[in-house]
Amino acid sequence: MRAPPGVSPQDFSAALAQFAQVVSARWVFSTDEDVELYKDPFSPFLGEPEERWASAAVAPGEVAQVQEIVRIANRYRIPLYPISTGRNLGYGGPAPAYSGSVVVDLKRMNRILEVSEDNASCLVEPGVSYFDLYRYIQEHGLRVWVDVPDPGWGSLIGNALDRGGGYTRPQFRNHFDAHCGMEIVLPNGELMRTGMGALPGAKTWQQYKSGFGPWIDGMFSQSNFGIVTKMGFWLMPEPEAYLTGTILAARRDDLHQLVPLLNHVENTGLTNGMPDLGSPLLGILSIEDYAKFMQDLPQPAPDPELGALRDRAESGDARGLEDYGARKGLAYWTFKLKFFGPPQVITAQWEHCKTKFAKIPGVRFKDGELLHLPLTREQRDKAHWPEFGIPTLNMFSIGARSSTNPTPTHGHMWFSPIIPRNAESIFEANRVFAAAAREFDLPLLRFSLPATYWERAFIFIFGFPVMDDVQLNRKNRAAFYKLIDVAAEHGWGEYRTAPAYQDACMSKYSFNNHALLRFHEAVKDALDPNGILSPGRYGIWPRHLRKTT
Amino acid sequence: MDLRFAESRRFGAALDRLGTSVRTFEADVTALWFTQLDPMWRAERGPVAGLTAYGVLFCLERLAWDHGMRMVYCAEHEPLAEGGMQHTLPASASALAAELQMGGHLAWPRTVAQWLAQTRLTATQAATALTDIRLRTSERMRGSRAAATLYSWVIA
Repeated sequence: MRAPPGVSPQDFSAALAQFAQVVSARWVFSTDEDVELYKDPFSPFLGEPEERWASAAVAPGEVAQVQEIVRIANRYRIPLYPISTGRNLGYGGPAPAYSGSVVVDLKRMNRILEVSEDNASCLVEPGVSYFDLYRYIQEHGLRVWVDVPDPGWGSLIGNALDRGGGYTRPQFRNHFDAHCGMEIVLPNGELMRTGMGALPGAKTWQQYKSGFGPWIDGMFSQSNFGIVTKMGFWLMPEPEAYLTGTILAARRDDLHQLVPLLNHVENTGLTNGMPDLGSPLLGILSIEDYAKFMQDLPQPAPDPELGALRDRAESGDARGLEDYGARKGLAYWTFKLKFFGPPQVITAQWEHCKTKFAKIPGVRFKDGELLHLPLTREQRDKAHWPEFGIPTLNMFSIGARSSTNPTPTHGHMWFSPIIPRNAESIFEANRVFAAAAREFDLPLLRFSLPATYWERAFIFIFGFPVMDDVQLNRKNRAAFYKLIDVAAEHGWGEYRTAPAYQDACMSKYSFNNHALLRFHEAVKDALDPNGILSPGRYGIWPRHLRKTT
Repeated sequence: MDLRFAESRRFGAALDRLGTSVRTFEADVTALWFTQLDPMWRAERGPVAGLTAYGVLFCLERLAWDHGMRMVYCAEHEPLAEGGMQHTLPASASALAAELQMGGHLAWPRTVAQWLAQTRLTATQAATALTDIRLRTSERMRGSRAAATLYSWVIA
């Protein structure tokens, strides 16, 4: 058993004993075997001294216990690191940002406190997973969906606080935006509710988000200002039907018209599902096709002619690839639009979308099947579940060494910059990141298309492999840091990252001599003067651990 | 058992013959976990064994932690480029290593299943098993969709 840095073994033992008095000894974990479980299985420091480690873990079962744990931690200056389920793999997992912290594991707080079909909302504790809520909805026959990430094994609260995303309608895809009301244990142990929850007797905690006065909920996401112990979410009323429609464009430069039109039909609500961008000619698969690809199903042999044409297209000369596409009937770009709603309405919406895109010369349209909901078993077997609010573990069917995955990695870390929603930025980001990959000796990044989780902005998501090879991981980490620099030089910042890179990413949000970070630090010092809560999370350090600013 | 892999099917068949309750899935473990394992573990903890690809093992191990269970045995079975298999077993499985050496090479999934069925594994054994045993067998099974590295495991 190792004590947290700066804490004497005697004080640490005393704190653990007091934790045990609060939650019972059964829920305090301090053996090496137990704390090992709180390492990040995808740590980019795998097997190196810098790998984040927990000194112990404590698992409270109710809010009052969380409050008492925080008070004890203040008494002994024990750094705490709360996790909901610790499953944000690729973005840090359960490991603390500051090694030696005691993980406050909130998995036992897994009560679904309310699900309202009429209001299409719920109130849950941090240990409630997407699967838990989905099961509840199914067992109670409720006509609401929860927007799930992929995989859906994590916590609603944890994912929302990390600002994760899903696959249904825009107002639900952004999981933090979909929340309504919080309960928070502050760093001094005090309990606070936000929004209408601050008004005793209010019946509108999950109905009206902002309450009265400054709306502070955002301060508790990607931060270390409190432990969220309850959170409300708006759920998606089950739609009557689902429809897809695909726009197929033949020329590289069509992207310049496609993206503004996509923005228009999305921003005006003509399409209300998550758009899925692909390129058959460039070998960029749609979300559904990617899942099938990773199942190691037999793939057609790559056409050597196509490979050479792709290389030329990525250098800017796409004529050969366009001609190839014309001969083979392959589109350069496919934009699959998705629609939720009454059958007549969404059919009309897709027809109207077609009229918008029809101005692109040579554009074709492919109608998808209109699915009446709920899905039949047969439809469900073919569906990409998260788009229908169904959590899945399917992602874990990959990872074996196989023909499509000859060198399986130990894990991955996501590099995920936000870029503007226009074609120029897609081309520019590809040029910049491909050049960076060559410079930093990374596996060559082929042309990629961004994800469309968020309205108004694109997000590029690149998976950096974590291997069993320390030297390779060091090289990849160095490249990751350089990519953060390169991205920032072009005005692109990360939306989320693992603790290893949080300082680096936060340092790029530096307008006016890091005014934003200095504000965070002022809040940190005021709320958490002992600096016990998640030191270093998202680059926010308490005063005693802060590097010279 | 993961129906994608001939080895996994043979492993499951061997356990079935021994009277062990066998559950199947094909690549995606979601339905198995959601409809069977999770409800079962919520009611009462119970051991589960498998011969699967790493991703499924990784996922189920972490889900099992929530129910207070741990992996108590895990061995890697890797197809070699030149043919044959390399088995990397935990030290606690020395008896299994001996049986694999003696047994027919193609029957290794059955040998592993039989050994697991008759062996009560504990977390203590797993924790004290420090040295892996590596052995090679000269043939590998045909009929899998892919030459995948598989893992036999027990969570209890």
